[in-house]
Amino acid sequence: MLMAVYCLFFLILLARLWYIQVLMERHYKAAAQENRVRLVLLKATRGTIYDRNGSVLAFNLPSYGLSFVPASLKGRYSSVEDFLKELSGELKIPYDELCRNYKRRFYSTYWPVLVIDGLPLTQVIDIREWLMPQGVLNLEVDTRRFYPWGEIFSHVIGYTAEISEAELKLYSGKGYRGGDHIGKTGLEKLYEDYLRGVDGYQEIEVDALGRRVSVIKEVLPKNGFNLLLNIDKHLQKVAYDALGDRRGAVILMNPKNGAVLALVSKPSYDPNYFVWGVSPSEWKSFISDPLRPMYNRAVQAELPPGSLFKTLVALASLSEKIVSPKQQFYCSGFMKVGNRVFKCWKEGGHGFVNLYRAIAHSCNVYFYNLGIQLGVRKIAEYAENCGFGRKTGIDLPSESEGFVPTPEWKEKYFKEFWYPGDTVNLSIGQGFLLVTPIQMATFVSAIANGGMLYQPMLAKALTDGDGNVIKEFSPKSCGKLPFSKSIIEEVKKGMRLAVTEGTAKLLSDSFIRAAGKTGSAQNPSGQEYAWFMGFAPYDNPEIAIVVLIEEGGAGGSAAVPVAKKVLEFFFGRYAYGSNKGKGG
Amino acid sequence: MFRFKETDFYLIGVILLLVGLGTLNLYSATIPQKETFFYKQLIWNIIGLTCLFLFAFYDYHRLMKYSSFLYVLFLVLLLLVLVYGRGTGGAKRWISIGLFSFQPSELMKPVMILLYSRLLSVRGEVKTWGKVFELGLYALLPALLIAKQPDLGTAVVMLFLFLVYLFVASSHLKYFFIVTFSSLGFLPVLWEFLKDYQKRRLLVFLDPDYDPLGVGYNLLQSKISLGSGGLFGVGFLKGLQHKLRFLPEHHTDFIFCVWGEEFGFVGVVVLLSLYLLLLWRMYKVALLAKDKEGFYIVCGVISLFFLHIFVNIAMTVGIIPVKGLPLPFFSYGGSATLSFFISAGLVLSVYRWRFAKEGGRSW
Repeated sequence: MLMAVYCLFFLILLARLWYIQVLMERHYKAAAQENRVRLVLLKATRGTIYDRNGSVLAFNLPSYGLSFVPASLKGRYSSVEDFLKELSGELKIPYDELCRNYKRRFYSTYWPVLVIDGLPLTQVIDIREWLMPQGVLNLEVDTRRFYPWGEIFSHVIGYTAEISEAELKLYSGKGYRGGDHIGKTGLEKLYEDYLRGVDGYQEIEVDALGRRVSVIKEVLPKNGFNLLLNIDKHLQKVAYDALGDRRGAVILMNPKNGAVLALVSKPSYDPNYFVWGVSPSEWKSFISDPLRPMYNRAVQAELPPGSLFKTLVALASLSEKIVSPKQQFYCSGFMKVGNRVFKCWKEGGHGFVNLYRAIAHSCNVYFYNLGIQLGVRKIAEYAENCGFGRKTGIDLPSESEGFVPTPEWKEKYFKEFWYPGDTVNLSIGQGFLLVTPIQMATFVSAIANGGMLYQPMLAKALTDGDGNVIKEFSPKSCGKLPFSKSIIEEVKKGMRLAVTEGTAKLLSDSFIRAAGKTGSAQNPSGQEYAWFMGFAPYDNPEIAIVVLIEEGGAGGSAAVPVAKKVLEFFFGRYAYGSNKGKGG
Repeated sequence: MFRFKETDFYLIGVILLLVGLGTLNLYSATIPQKETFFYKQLIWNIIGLTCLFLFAFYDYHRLMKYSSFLYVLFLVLLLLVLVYGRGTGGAKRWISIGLFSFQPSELMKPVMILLYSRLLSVRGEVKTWGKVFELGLYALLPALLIAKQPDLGTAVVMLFLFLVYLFVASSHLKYFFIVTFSSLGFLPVLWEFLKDYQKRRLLVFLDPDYDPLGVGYNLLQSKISLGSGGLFGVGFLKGLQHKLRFLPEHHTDFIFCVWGEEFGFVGVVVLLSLYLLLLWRMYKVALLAKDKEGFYIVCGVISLFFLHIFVNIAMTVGIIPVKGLPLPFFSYGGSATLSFFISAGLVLSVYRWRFAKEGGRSW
């Protein structure tokens, strides 16, 4: 009887052993593998970012952190919480922060968890004295991005910071782990895949305390590619300084290939601040800042172009043969359309004006006439063919599209007809039309080069660690202006006249033979948006420029001086100056 | 003097085989510890084998006469352990006598068997509740002292022996069943007396993955060891789980995992068959026993072995909570080894003395 009961119990044991050893064999074998084989990451170094002359714009600094293997705490601490509490007390780092890091980065009890990162070197030395003898904590050396030029390039380069949970999900399959740094915005985000490289690893055999027994396999990391930009560091700085404390944007582009030489948006922010992590409340204060420093005005701002748009109306009218360049209109200072009176900006009017003078002096009445004859549909069609209402494709994330209005759109959203007055407003770049500064830059570049629309490019090439070029970003044409070269030539004459005797006359006393167009677009919430777009030299344009100043007032007095400073520096440095940096 | 038929070579053979395999297994298990455990255990096995033969040749009837004295002696020793004892991790289990130290609680096991066999054979079957309580008290006293060390596993052994004797030596099975089920009802009260770590063990037993760093770690690792052994095992000396020290207590409580990892399910079946053979052979001796005394002793020893084998393996495979009971002839440990050899010696003695005349001697 007793023996029978005992035999029965033995059978229970056998059944259970059959389950564990035979049925679950694969499961436990995998677990055993995970137990003793640990991967040690060999982190790839993120590529450096250089300007067109090889100046460093973003590089890596060493950063120190501490990690521990949760399983190794066994027998020394009764729980992870106890350990973290002690650590918190010793290092004077808030317990909550350690807990947060632990929870976010925990992967398995046998894998190191980076509980502290971003330690300065001085503190690392203190820590060594206290922690290393215990053998629980490991010193982890990683890198963090550093941006030596801070605010000046933040809207171009962006920054890297610790990957978020949402990003981990979004990029699952790309091999990111919690605690990794990833490009959050700007070029760092757009060229993330090239810059980050491929992490390597060592498969090491460890004992239960995480001590290394042997290296089983080693795969070396492939460092990220270096990114060479079209940006010119000095030009960028001059453009940045030229804007002063005003809000706005400056873009400099090579009209011959779309290479962006400078791209400034103000106000700006220090990207280094974000690399080391900001708390949610700090982040909120950045986002809710009324000056919107995180907002890249050069590619995100959607504004009425004001008088800059007159160039397009002029081109379209010539193309449609509505007007010939020398044909004159009389500007009495206002024009009646239906029951409404539309004023010219100049009291008393411009008198008789032809196309050149109309562009040079930005005569509204002249363009009202052209606009009415063209009609809204033609204007909208030409605007779209010139690249408005869609992204230019510049290599920056979150570019805006702008907006080209049509009668159908207005009826749908406002339940109102498109009135002739709307066309009149459109013909001088007011009303519903919205453009981005970068769209204006591609447009004025196309005028300068005789009609080619180039995709603006910040990146020039990728190189490997030895300096070999891996990939060159060649100029990309994205269409042509729908105007013949001779027609464009006529408008350019008008733009040159604007400099010599018109609204951009402040540029006339310079050694530069520039051409351009000013704009002062109405702003319902304050002073006008001051615009300038232009190119130089007039005969063989090497540079195109767009300046926008929010609430800057008249384009001629606010935006033109900024353009002048930048252009003079540019030509002082490249075209005429034999000593680098001397010009301007 | 030495007579062939008086010696159960079958049983001795099985024991020697188990001791041999157990020693080899311990060798593999303790490679990372530079073999000191292995050599120590070798010495304990030699001492144990000597004891086995000493007890085999000694008349168990005479030994039983001292059982009350031995019982009191070991109760005192258990009290002394609580006062002067030493041990690891807060538990006091060992008592030092000169050069070496031992665990009185381990040796209390054969003493309990002798005491019960003596009481039951002299006074006859259990027929009243008064007797039941008296017998229960004999087990409860050492059990409480041992539980205080704390060593819950060994304490349970004492109570288990009481139940076994209630089963084999009472006039009616109702005593056994009523005591068993009422003590189950007593469990929640017992819970209050448990130490925190003991409570945690029980909780983790219900969900081993709940706290992989704490107590669950042991259970998880033991299952990983066994599971990675598979059907045929990874081979002698090739087990990695214990070598890299993932497996805790691999030379004592979790020694079975080392065997399971290196020899797989096949090896496990072989080992369990050997243990079953051991129990079966002892059962034969119980049937051959000349008198009630012998019968009771062998029943106690069988149950003692069974409980250790079952609890140890059941713990490793996670069907009962983690309780530190050694696996006979496999686990490292001096006092436990001696206790097993002495118990087996008692069985051999019963086999040997079945031919003797009442009170007579064979030499």
